Amino acid sequence: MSLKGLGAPPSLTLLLLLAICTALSLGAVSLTPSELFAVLKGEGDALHSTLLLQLRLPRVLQAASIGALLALTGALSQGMFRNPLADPSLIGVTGGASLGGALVLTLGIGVGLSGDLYVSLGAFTGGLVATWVVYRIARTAEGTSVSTLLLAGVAITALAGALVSVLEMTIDNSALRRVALWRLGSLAGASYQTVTIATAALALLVALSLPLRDVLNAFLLGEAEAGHLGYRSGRSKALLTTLIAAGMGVSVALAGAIAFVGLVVPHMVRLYCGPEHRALLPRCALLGALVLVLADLLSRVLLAPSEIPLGIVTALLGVPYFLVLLRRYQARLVFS
Amino acid sequence: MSDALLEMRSAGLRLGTSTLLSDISFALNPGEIIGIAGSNGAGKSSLLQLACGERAPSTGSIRFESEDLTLMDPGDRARRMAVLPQTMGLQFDFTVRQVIALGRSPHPDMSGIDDKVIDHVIDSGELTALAHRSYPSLSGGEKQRTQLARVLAQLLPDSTGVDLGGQVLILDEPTSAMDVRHQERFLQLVAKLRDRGCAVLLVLHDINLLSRCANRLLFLKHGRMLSLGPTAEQLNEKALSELFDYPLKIRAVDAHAPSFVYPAPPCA
Repeated sequence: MSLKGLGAPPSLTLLLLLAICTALSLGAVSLTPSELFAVLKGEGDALHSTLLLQLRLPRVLQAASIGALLALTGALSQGMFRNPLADPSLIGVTGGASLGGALVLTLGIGVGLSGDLYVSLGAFTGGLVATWVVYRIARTAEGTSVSTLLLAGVAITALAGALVSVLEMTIDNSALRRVALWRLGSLAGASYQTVTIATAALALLVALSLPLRDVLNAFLLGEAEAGHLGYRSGRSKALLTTLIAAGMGVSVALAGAIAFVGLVVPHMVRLYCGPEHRALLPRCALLGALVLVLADLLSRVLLAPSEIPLGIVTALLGVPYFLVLLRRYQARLVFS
Repeated sequence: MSDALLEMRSAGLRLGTSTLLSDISFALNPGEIIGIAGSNGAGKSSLLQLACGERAPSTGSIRFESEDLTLMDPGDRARRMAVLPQTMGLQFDFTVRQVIALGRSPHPDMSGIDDKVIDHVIDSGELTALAHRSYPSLSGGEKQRTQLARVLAQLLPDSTGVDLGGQVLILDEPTSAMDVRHQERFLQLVAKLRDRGCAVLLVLHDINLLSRCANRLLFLKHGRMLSLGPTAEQLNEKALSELFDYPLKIRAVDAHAPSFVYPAPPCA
């Protein structure tokens, strides 16, 4: 089967289901396929049922939806910035979300589940505020300048990082460990409630971004050109910014800062199906889910029973890929 | 009552404290090419940005038929007016055909028409061999020809493109990277579009190329209109030398060939 066929939505869906089953089976306690299906049919033993249904299943589902969110948001961001290297965190969402989440953690609002929800809400709000501020700074009477937007994003990210560090100095050790783990990215806190939030956010993002695929294609030619082709560039850009902020806000809130999935997955898809968004967006969602389910599996089993934070796994896998890409695009910029 | 397609009335453009354009007035009629000439920074590209609705004028007005251009629905405008900007950065691996197909975006999906128009412009632009090449891998001239084909795909209502009355084409330096053969093909193309009723607003640095296709020339200097008139009247040594702040001469090669503008450096 060709790479293109392997990367088509039906085979990607199949691969995703396979990966989910593998991730459900493997871990500190591994299950054989027959044990796994026994539990899924409601016939397994109690220990296996608890392990699978209370711990692994929400976590794997969370990995799938967060992975899809990250990759989709990455594709939207690269399209809007007309730059194949544009990471969603570049517009300041990740920084803002981290600050919002860390602020709630420091204040210690709520305990247990309600605490997690407050932290999530804080991160989500922080991401939206940061994006809004950056958007306001970059906006001029003539439209929005992409380079100003990017530079403002860099500044906001630096400021948010500094403020999170200040917050870290004021909190006790257990809270500090939580903030640190959360900033590194982890799905350990996944529950059916957080899965519900993640899948609802994903459904919303898919529903609102798929109609934007044509304007995103035109955007790649340039903002003014999208206008010449009959699109309302300003309105589309505002909607895209909101979607990117919401997608990154929710994923950072529920899983912490997971790097490189939003950058690498859209690239992998473009390699075999081209940059056209009609094909790109659905494949990104599926491949993003697949990649994060596998990365989370690695984070659980590599040093089992200890766990490597997920953000570290994705960074270790993503950074070499990113550097290769950087070289490739640099060569293109020099020779074209 | 004028039957102009695009009309500027005392249009001006200010950005912050600097005035880019002031008091620009002209009417572009169907089946006419107006060529815009001027030195670097004279405001040619700004004038085109006003003409295509990318920027709103700070003073005066711009009308498309009887409608205020800035209030026009973007979709309606894109079906009547195609614009080729001077620079076109595209970092993603679109094929030539995919780039050209983007030109059909403003048109409602008419089954089969889109493909016919795309095939037609690829064929007439001699781009068949490049159709599946990656756009970023093309040379500068090939990129320009691809973008020109995209703009044509947007402009043509159908693959025959016989009646283009009511359509406006705005081109900013479309031939700067093209070889002589493709420059000549370009001249033939715009002449054909004009003969079919299309109105063209064209900026070219090559005054000889411009004067061979434009019906009227608009001379722009320091953001102001120096003059506007039929090409034959505008082409005089005094006006051209004043426009470019450099002594220029005109030589009529023979009765059938166009006259030729060339620089005459002042003697040391």
